[in-house]
Amino acid sequence: MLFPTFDFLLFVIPVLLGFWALANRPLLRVVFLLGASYFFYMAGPQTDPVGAPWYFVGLLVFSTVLDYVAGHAIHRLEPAAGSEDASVAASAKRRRNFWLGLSLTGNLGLLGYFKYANFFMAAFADMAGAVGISIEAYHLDVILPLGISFYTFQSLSYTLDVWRGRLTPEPSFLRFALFVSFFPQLVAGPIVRASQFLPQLQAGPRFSREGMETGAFRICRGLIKKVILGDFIAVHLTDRIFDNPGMFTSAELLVALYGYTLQIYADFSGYSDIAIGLGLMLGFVLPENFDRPYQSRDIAEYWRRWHMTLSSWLRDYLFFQLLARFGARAGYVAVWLTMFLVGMWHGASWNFVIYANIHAGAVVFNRWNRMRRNTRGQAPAKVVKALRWALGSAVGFGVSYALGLYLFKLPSELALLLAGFVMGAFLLVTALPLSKIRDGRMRTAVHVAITFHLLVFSRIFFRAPDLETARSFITGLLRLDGYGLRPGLASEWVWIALIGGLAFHFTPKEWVNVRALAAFRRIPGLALGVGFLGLAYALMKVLEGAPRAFIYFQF
Amino acid sequence: MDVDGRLKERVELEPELPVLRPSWSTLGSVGPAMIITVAGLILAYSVPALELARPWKPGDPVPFWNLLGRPFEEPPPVEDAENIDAIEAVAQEVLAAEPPKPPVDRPPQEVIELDEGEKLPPYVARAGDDAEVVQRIELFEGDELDRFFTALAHSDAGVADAITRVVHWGDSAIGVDGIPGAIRQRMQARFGDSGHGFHLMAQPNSSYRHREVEFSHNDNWRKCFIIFKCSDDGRYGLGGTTFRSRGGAESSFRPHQERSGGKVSRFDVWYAAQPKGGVFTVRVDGGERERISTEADELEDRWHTIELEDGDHKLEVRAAGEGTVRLYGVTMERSQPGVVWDGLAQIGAFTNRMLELDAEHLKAQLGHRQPDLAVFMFGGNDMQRKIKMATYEAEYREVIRHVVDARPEMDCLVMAPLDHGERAGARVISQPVVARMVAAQRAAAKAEGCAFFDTWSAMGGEGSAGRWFHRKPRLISGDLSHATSKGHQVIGELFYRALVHAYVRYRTGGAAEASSGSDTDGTDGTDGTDGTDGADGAPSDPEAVEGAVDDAAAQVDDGPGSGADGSAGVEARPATQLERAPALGAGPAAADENHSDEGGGDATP
Repeated sequence: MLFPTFDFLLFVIPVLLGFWALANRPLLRVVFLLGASYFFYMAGPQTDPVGAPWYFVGLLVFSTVLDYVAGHAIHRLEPAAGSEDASVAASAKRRRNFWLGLSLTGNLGLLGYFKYANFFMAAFADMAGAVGISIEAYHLDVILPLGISFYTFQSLSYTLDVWRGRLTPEPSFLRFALFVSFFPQLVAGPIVRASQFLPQLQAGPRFSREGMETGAFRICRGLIKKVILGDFIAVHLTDRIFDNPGMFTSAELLVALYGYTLQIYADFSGYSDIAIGLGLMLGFVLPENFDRPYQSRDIAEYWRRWHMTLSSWLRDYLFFQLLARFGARAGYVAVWLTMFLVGMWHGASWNFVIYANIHAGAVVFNRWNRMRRNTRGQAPAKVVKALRWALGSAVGFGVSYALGLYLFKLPSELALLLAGFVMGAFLLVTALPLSKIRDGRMRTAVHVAITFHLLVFSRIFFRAPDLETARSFITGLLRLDGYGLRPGLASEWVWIALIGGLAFHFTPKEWVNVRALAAFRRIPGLALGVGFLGLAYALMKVLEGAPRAFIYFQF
Repeated sequence: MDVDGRLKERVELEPELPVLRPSWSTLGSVGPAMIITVAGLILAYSVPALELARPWKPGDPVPFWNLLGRPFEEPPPVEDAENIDAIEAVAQEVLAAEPPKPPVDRPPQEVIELDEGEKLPPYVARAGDDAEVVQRIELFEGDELDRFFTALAHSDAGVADAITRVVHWGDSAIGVDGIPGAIRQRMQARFGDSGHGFHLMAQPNSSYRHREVEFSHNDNWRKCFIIFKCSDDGRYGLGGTTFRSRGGAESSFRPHQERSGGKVSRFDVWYAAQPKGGVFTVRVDGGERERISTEADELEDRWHTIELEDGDHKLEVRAAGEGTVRLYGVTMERSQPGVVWDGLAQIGAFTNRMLELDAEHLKAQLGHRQPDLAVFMFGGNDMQRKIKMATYEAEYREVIRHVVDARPEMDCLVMAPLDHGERAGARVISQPVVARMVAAQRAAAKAEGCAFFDTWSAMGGEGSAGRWFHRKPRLISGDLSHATSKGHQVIGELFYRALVHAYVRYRTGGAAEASSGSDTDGTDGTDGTDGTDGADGAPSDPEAVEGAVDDAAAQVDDGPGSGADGSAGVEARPATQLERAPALGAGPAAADENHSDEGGGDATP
């Protein structure tokens, strides 16, 4: 189900009232919320594009049962695994690993089949073709189940934490099923871990006036973000430019990129806002997922502020495990692999391979840039240092040029321009390191601007439907054709939304989180009700004829 | 948790704590606000005057559609589904071959000399001639494209100097040379590559791009684009834009080495000579500059031709001062037999902008170009006009006459506009004006003796913009009006198949069907006249089709009338085709009805 729809309004008011009425009845409130969550999953409105049919809920049930059973089996074997009898311990560990493996295989297998299988087969055929072996890739006719990338990770966190001995298994199957399917965050996050949410479900909801009003505020904020800055900009600007980049000027392509960069943030963070707000109104606290990410000064910081629940999930369950197993020497590989998987989580295509590598490469560079300043030891002679820089710059320039030429199929002059941009940015970042003391606003602004534009550029691969379109987009962008923006590109409302949205993103977050919230809470109930109606009507008019699924629904 | 969020301690699930239901005061301002919201909703459905504020109206998908509506909905009608499947099959085939390959050079030994009176060699079926056709070319009288096909047959046979030229005008539907480029590549791969054709001297707008040409120009050209009605004398040139400079303006042209055949053997610079005309220079492959004076007693169109050895060449044109020069563009051709397909996009143009071209000027331009076929693909911008369809049809007819009168020796073909969608709830439907406009264009084509290709039906007709938008990759862009680059390829393929199908029927007299496909809407005006429709017993097996095609070719070769008048073999068609009765297929007839019914309506989307 989509939040900004009439269907959701029909759904959520009875659910809130029902849950509040049953709040002091432990079993009934869980059963009620579980039923509501499953109904939410199955009974979405007709969307564009059309989602998976209702019976795909079976996959959700499968994941739930698998992880519930695996968690308990793993926990039961814990004492034996710590036995002093080596053979008993070894056997128990093997069986614990078996159950963990079963959970991983089941969850990731589903994800792999529905999300990645076609790409892997096509990629295999592409690579075979590159060496002269012609293979026709088999194509599975599958529909991506709603929210599978979210609930598999959420469900897996339970098994992994139980296996690591960090979590006591949930005794109640119903509560566990509610943890996996809790409707506010079921289909597009935040990814709530078992250790964060199961204790809340066990303890029961906690209601407060502050929570209610803050929740309502977050819902309104999320709806405005999603509809005005997400859908509206998409329908009236970015979609048509990304669909046919060859028809637009360099400046228009750049505007589309800025538009999409804002749109995807507003779309996804708007959804998270609504989810967190609903959670608060139901008496639960869900983790934050965004923290003004485009204000980041480097790419690593960005990933600490964008889709925080995914990046922290992979950091905790993958990155730290790799470091623990292979030591700090494997740091760069661990960073690259983690960030690559973060990127690939978003989609299965060559575009996402490039997107993931851009981000992974940038984070690796960021780590190197940070580490080199912390390394103590004898500094090399100036000549050696200069030679290293010259060599490094030449290699970086050459690699960027080659990528432009052979991967993006750019004409040589445009490939040179791209390489120039890339190396210019990298040299600027390394030459102007951020220091913690007195680094000055200008230097911070330079880093924020470079990081922001790296993100903007990478969005080409995120949004373009295929590699060919992405190439066409980059070519048009770098052509710098000087035609500017043609009249009629977008209405004044789109420009207001675009410029206002981007400008607003760079304001201090306290303006919204503290001041606007306080002002919202001072509004009398009747006035707020009229405001709700006005907002609902305005959003209905903006959305008229153009309801869209959340971008992250496709993940 | 520690600072990283990692779990340091085991999380124990605490015993359940007592929970209190939220009281009215706990709800704070949210409680009254929810009541107001529900009351507002009830009011919207109770008070008729508030109908506009109702979020759901009868006819919208039922709430909770995925559970309560979707399982009970009827599947689409089988007839539509088959047509859509056929289009989808073509799309998949085309997209699997992306990116398109440049045309393959016809080997020189295939070029033949044809003496005066010698007949043309028989038709030989080539790979792809029997490809399934989704939508056929409509020939109302049967002979609308005969002169074009005659020329094409000479190119097909490899007759020396047999170059078949097509001028393709249209609005943004053919922008970025997308659809003309897709057709050109296929036609040249099938019939021979005779070069890219016409290219403007500079870009009139950013959407003017020909990917098969390595082209650059500086900003010193002053341009006058026909859609702005900026030239009092109506001399816009073949491409619809004239360029002036008193000096310093430069452009360069070179066939793209990867995206085209990469060769050229003749550059023609199109310009106007005029009193006090200046000088421009041309330079080939960085050699000596040649000066061309544009001084003349009175305004007239001229051409400067540069013959070269067939190969990779670059032409640079520069305005050299001494007065104002006025140039139109450059054509790039090769001396070998084949096809040249000029993409002449007039981005943003209404159909009637073609009338801005001065008649004598157009005559001179076409007289020099010597095209065998003129293709028109307008309508996208006219859909925004408040115009009666009867008026629009009359306007379109006038445009056709204006162009055809300038060169009566050529045939004409009207391509209907692409589907233009609009959103209705979660669905995308065709704008109502599209069907009316297609009917008006069909009627105009028929009345003026042109062939007609129903692009809209080829896309799938009603709702096709939505289907093309929703498929992956998208074939229609987000504005639901313009095809994506992949959409261009699919439309190019659909049109190419239809054209080749009609050509094969012409060559074989309809004795063999080039396609085993269905005439899905019965719009082929020739159907029913010779009983050769694929559904009526034409072999569906490709080999059988090819065999039948060869047999038919032999029949044409040996049959009555072959070479009887000493003319080319293409004229030795069986009587069935020559004597074809005026065709009144369901499509044109339906179009007449539609037209008469709908003609009074406004073209308001």
